[in-house]
Amino acid sequence: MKGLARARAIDFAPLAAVVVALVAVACGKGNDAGGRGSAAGACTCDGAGERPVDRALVAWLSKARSAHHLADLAEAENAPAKAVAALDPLVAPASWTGAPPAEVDEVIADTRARLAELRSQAGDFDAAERDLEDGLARAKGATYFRGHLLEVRGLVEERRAKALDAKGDAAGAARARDEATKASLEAISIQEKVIQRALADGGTR
Amino acid sequence: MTEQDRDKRDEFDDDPDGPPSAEELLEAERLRRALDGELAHDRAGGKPAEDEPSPKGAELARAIVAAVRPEPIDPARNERLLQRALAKAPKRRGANVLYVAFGAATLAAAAAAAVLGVGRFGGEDGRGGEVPALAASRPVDDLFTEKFPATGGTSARVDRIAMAREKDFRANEFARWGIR
Repeated sequence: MKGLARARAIDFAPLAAVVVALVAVACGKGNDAGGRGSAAGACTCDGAGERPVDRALVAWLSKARSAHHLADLAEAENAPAKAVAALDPLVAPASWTGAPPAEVDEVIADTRARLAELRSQAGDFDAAERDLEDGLARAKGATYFRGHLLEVRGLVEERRAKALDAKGDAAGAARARDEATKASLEAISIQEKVIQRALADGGTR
Repeated sequence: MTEQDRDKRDEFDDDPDGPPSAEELLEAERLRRALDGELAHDRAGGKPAEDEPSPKGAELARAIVAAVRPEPIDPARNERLLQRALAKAPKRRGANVLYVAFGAATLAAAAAAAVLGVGRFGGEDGRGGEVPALAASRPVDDLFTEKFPATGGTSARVDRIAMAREKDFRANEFARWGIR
């Protein structure tokens, strides 16, 4: 029996060697792909930190699209709370596991802007400001998304000022108007940068 | 008719219903002992039990019983049979050396490939052809040439982003399948 077992072990030696070799090659490739976070695993994208457009990203975008159209339907029914309920899961931490791709960050930022607007219409200005903070943290560069978030912040603060005025809080209303002015000016500055960059690119943007 | 022919006819005409002869009784006893494993070879180990040979009828009866109701092989006998079979097998030392050498060479080549980065992404594939570049995830600025309206329009923007990336994803899938 021992002889037979030894003979079998020797038969499997080359197979085991090939398996180990394949694992070694896979490890080499895995090191190359390190940090790119690609589920597809065959990225030929240039530059560190890049990942190919893959199934997970497309599926998430499709989900975001559906959520926004559900919010459209809710708004058409004049049901802002229902619209907020449709969009909230999209911006929850569990919406995307790990470091999100640029598209996910930008769509969440845009969704935060929409949520801020919806919440401020309902008078929930503090929650609206939290939405804007998260959105601005995701859209850091000079982009239309950041400019839009600042523009919405201006609108939210304007609404807050009106609400405070209605309550007789003149000082609070003045502070809110200052914030609205500041946000609107910053939005204009960002949009100008975006326009200048677009023109520098030959007007292709 | 000769004397010999007459004797043969007497044997043939022997009454089958008559009482058994002493010789027949002796043969019957030998058959019983053979079936009980007391003669020639015992049923488990194949060792001679007695020098007296087993009757042919007993061998046949044991074969039939073994075919219908086989008994488990004795482990010691199994080991002896295996040792005998392995001893007759041709020596494979040369083949073993070849296998080990092949395995070691494969390992060395794989280690070298891993260290040197053969098959590195963005390089060439194993067939020597260029791997097509895949569309990368990236900011979506290039999809928007106009300032966003102050309110509304979010769904339209998400539509545009989703459709653009679906197109990229399809292109990536085709590239991976080798379709250009």
